[in-house]
Amino acid sequence: MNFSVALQILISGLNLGCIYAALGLGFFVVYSVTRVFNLAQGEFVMLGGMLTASFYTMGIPLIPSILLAVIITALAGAGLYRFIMYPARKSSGVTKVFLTVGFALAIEGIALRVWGWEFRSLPAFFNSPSIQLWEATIFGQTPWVIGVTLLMVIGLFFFFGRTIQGKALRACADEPLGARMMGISIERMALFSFILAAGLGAVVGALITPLTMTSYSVGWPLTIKGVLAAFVGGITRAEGVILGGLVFGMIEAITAGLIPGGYHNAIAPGILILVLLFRRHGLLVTAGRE
Amino acid sequence: MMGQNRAILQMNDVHANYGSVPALRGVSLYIRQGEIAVLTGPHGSGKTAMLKAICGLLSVVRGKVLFSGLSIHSLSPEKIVALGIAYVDEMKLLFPSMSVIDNLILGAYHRHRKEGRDKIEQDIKTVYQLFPVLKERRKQYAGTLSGGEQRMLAIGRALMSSPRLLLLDCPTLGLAPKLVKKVMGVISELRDQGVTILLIEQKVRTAINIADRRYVMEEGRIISEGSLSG
Repeated sequence: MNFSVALQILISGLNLGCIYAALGLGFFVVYSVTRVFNLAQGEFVMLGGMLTASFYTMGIPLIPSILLAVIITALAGAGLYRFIMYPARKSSGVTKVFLTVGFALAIEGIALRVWGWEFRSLPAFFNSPSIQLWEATIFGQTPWVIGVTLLMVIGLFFFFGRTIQGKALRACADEPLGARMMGISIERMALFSFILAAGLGAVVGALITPLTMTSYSVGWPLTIKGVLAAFVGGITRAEGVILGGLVFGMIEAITAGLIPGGYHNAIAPGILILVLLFRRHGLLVTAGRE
Repeated sequence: MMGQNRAILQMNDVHANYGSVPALRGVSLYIRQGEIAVLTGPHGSGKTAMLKAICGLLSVVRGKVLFSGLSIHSLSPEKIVALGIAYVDEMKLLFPSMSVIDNLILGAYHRHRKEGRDKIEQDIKTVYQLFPVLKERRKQYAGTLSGGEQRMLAIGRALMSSPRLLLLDCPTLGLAPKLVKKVMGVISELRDQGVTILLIEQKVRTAINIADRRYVMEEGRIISEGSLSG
């Protein structure tokens, strides 16, 4: 394997890794506050991409298009909590997961009705041109994916580590009863976590559309990949989720680069399942605390 | 002292259940502002249930709970904390994977918007003065503290909400004798600063030294009440 192929694979892996890490963070935010696996996370990504593409083709500039898409998707996240998860807050964990699946299917159905089955696309942000690095070609959108993901990660770490509301969110995950005794409303924090996750998902959707195109049906595979990435790194820690995403992206890029024929779609998840068999709590989480 | 005899907490014929099991069967009590009241009685007599009913963790099915004349028995725990009642559970309920200082900051959660950072940092210093070990351990995860340190952190965190009424469930449970004395000292110091305290204590003799009033519970009722400060 020559240098340029290796570089191409590395960049493509980083690009995919950032996408999976950002997807995983959406799960992490909701899971850490509510202990719910939100299997509608991929639909937020789909909504973000489809809405941005729609607004953009209507002639609205890119940034306002993304903002509108994020706001509408965040509202969908708020709706999922307020009208489905909140009334079901006393139900079992399995019931809650299936409720998010139901929501995902409903969103997919609505998206099909509104947008049809056609794929939609966006140009690379601000028509960024491709970059030639030695023999490797970097698509103009890739630096945006990596940069914006990095910003989101920094923003989340600042929010959870430094602000009182972020700390309150962590407190709900750590000891819900203790949080209530401090005057923290768990319901409000849970609502906020769904809004935040939906907003993050929408940004990811806008980011990946120039690379992969989007349609009403892209949400579900993204959900599965995001969940897998989050679990491989360890869903109880943000660092774990990010690491899991990067590892997943790298493995997928390497297998796609070296093994022809589209087997990477099976190999990458396969490797991750093996990892999970040996490290039940994920790569970064060693202790038995769940 | 003025206002010494005003009731800060009044319970009238309060009934509450754990599921379908009655825990309180008509409790009436009257706690004056600025006193330490100690609750004693055998296991399962409803002492913890009483504290939980006051702070909203156990719903009151009949009767009334009044805090400074305000009826609170149908409010959520979040609202009750904001009114000035803090509860330290026997299990402590700390945030184990957060630092000591973050635990303290979150104790003041409901004050953040109104009072701002400076006031809260000032109060953290006050807690450090009461419990210097918490200052040494401020960056450590709460879950890594010893049992005694966790107990102190739980009390410190409750104080961060600047309560007018502090409910303590067995604050000296599992503590070494030296620490028991320390905690009792802090409790009477708080009383001198005007905080009213209602505590459950197994070591009746230690508590009685500092308490102004004693209630004895049995089977979900108060069976005797006596002033100790006379």
